[in-house]
Amino acid sequence: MDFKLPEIGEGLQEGELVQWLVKAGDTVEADQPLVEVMTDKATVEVPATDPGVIKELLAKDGDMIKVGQVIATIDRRTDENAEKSTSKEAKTEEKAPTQSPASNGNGKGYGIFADEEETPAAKQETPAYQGAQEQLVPSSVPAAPIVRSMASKAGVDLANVSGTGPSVGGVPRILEADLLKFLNSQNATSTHAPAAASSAVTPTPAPTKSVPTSTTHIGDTNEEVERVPLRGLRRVIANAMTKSKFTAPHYSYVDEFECSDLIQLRKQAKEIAAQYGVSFSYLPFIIKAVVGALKEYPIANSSLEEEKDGSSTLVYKKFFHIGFAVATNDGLIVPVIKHADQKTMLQIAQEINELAEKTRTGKATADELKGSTFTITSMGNLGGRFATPIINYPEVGILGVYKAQEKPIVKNGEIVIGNMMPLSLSLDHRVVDGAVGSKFCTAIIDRLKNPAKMLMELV
Amino acid sequence: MNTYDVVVIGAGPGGYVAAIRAAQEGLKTAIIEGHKFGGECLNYGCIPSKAFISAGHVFEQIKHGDKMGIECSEAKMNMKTLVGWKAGIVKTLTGGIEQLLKANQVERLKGLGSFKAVEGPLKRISINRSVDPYDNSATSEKGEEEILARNVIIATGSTSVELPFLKCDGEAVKNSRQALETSETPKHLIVIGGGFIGLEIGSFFSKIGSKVTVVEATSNLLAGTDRDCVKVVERQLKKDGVDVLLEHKAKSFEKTPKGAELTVVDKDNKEKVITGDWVLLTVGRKPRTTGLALENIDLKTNDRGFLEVDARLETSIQGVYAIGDVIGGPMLAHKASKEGLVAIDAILNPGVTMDSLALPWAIFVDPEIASVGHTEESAKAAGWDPVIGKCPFAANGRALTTGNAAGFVKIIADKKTDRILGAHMVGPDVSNLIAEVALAIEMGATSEDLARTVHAHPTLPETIMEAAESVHGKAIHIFERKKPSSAAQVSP
Repeated sequence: MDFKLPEIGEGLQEGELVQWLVKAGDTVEADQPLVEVMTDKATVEVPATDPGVIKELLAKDGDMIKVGQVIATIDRRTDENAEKSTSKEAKTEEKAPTQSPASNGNGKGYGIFADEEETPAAKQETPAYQGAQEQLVPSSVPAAPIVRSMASKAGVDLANVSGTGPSVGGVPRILEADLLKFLNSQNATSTHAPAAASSAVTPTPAPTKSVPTSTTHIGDTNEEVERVPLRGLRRVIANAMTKSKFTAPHYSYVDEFECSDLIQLRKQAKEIAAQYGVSFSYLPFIIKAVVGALKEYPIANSSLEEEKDGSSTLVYKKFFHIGFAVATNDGLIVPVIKHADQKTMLQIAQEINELAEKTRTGKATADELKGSTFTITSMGNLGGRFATPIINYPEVGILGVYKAQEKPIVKNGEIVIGNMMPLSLSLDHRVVDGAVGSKFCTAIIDRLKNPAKMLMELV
Repeated sequence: MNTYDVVVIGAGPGGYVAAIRAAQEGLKTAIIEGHKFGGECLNYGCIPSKAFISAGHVFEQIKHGDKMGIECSEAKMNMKTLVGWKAGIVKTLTGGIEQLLKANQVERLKGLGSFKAVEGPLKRISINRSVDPYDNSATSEKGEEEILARNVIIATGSTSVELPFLKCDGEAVKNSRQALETSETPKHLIVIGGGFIGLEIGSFFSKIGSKVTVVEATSNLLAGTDRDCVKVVERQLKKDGVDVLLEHKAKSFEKTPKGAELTVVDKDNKEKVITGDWVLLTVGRKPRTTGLALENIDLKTNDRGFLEVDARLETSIQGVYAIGDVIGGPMLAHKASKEGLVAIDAILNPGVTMDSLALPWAIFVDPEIASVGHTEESAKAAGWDPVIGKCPFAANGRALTTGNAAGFVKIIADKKTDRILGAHMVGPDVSNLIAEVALAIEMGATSEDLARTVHAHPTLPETIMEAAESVHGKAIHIFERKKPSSAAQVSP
């Protein structure tokens, strides 16, 4: 039975195979997690649909796999009746099965599940063996043996690959580079592709040897490097950041505000929330302040859609999904508070607690990690004064929040101790000009500086 | 009980290659061989016959050396020395195979391998040391053991066919193996079967002085070979005094004190009696599956006794593969070897299939014939529009200086794409020349690619280049009557 990658989230077409949780030969129960797949942001565990024995894994760690792609084959049989394991990882000292399939009538070990699709007839899908010369037909694509071998291992029909080599009767030969390009662009859509293709095709990065420096005691300079392929979340982050930085020209606007009132209010809120078992940070206030400012400046809650023909459309979102950055061991992830404008601060606080925990433990669903219209990144207690956050593209703004510090400020002509909280706001200058940006930032600060204003906005 | 990832049954050129590759790939591998490592090819076939043929060639060169100014008294053939020399070569090669298997940590199990049962993903195989699988005779050894295999590769090869009234006793009637152990030059040798084995060995004996009569049932020698090539060989056979009886069938046989008496009938049922020292019986080979106990895993052979496989070389039983002579097709050692490599690849990777475009082969008659890819007919049948380029060795300087300039190279290309589809050659050393065209076909080369490649002078492969030029009517060293067909344009 083919095991296809099921739907892993609304609208998601593909994900990266982070790691297999099973190996060929393993017996699995229904709903047992088989594989970890990383989507845009979340790592999801994909469970088995039926009990059975893993026959073969057809994709490997790091492969991009598409929804509907066959990533494993599973025998819906008992251990004793599992069919051949072609995997060399399979243990060689496996105990000999006790039940002799010969006794079940057909001698092939298929007796119990004779109605299954893995009956011997199904095996014969591979075309019959032809002689060499019979395979040389006008439709045979001109390509060298190594290219044909790589293609067959990757499950690629060379007829679909466009070649760039010297032409044969007007048809360009398919070179190794052409196939590699095809595989990269496809991320191998075919069944066997990922596992085979990358092992056969992708050169493993060779570890660089350490080169000791000269004996003239300049120091123990060792130029050793460790080369680690960029995988999983790191790769997702790398791609997203590159896209954002090279698509949306950012500028950052920084300011700080006196937050004594906010501190006071948060202290009270914290106690109340504690009665509900909810831990209450500054974030619910900041989210509410941002939502209020976004309502005042809808341009900051928009995104710019670029069409292929060069035209662009500004999309104003009438809903307020606020993302907040969570640091995990694997990297930064942004869970989303949906419809933050319609939720109470207590609700938001509770949701922050839950989402942050789920995100840190890798349990957040894909839905919980997408759809934000504006993002907040809080450095919390990590310190620092200001940073220049990178926009969570295609949003047009991101707000950085930093730890409040006691500082001397001038109030009514006197130097007093104030609690100053720094903010930095990065905006997409294609959409939001500096003047609007500063007004938007001020609108946020107004609310945080004087939380009563936020009370006025309660629905 | 030991369990292996791959168990190969038969250590011929298919089996030992598969076993070594499996071990290279990190698979726990065993090979079962109850006779000799190297199989028919190394022990009794390709290699021993080539040793004989080389000797015949040297003998003939000495005999005809006078035209080059080499004068020597009558050369004599000492068959005992030749058989000993051949045995040394075989020993070197087969010993080398065993060493390679050992060095690659392939478990070598001696005996007759038989299937016991399929047990889930595993196949139970027994190895019986008391039976020699070559002819199912008893050995001096005893004992039986059982192993389990995840994947089995059947590489049991083939065995020579006998006729109902002609059994190979090794004296009056010999098969090819027995013929290559003969210690005396026969005065008159009768060869039944005008295929390549009969003609290779028959030609050898003719070269060293035997009178040779070839009896062939069909109307052609070397069935399935390019007719133009065969004609050149037929001329040489005639020159060497070999009698060829086409459309003659062996009818009865009698062993006489003098040797052999064979009665043949022609297509009009006219009888003829041929007397000779002994008969070489080369009427074909059949797949060897006896002893495998295929019934225990419910694996059947087809009506001709061959195992059928898919393009992954897997039989109808999952995890049981078959390669080489036992699956039919051309019974060639290199075909078996290639299939052995593909089978291991297929075990490791489900997408792998046998995808060679060219299977070259050579016949070591005089002059040699070599062939690869399509013939004109098969190219047409496959949907190509074949055009031919041909160049004789008589136009090649190097061929003339070897004293053997008979023959030609024929290149078949597609008219529309110019892609090379096949080559058929007869002439000096063509068994070595064919490799260039095999590579060209696998690489999807055009005849112009071959023509534009610089070939060293003076060498025999220049003839390939010229034949490729001739596809477009542009060979230099032959007069081309036809107009160049390629779209050559001179820029103003």
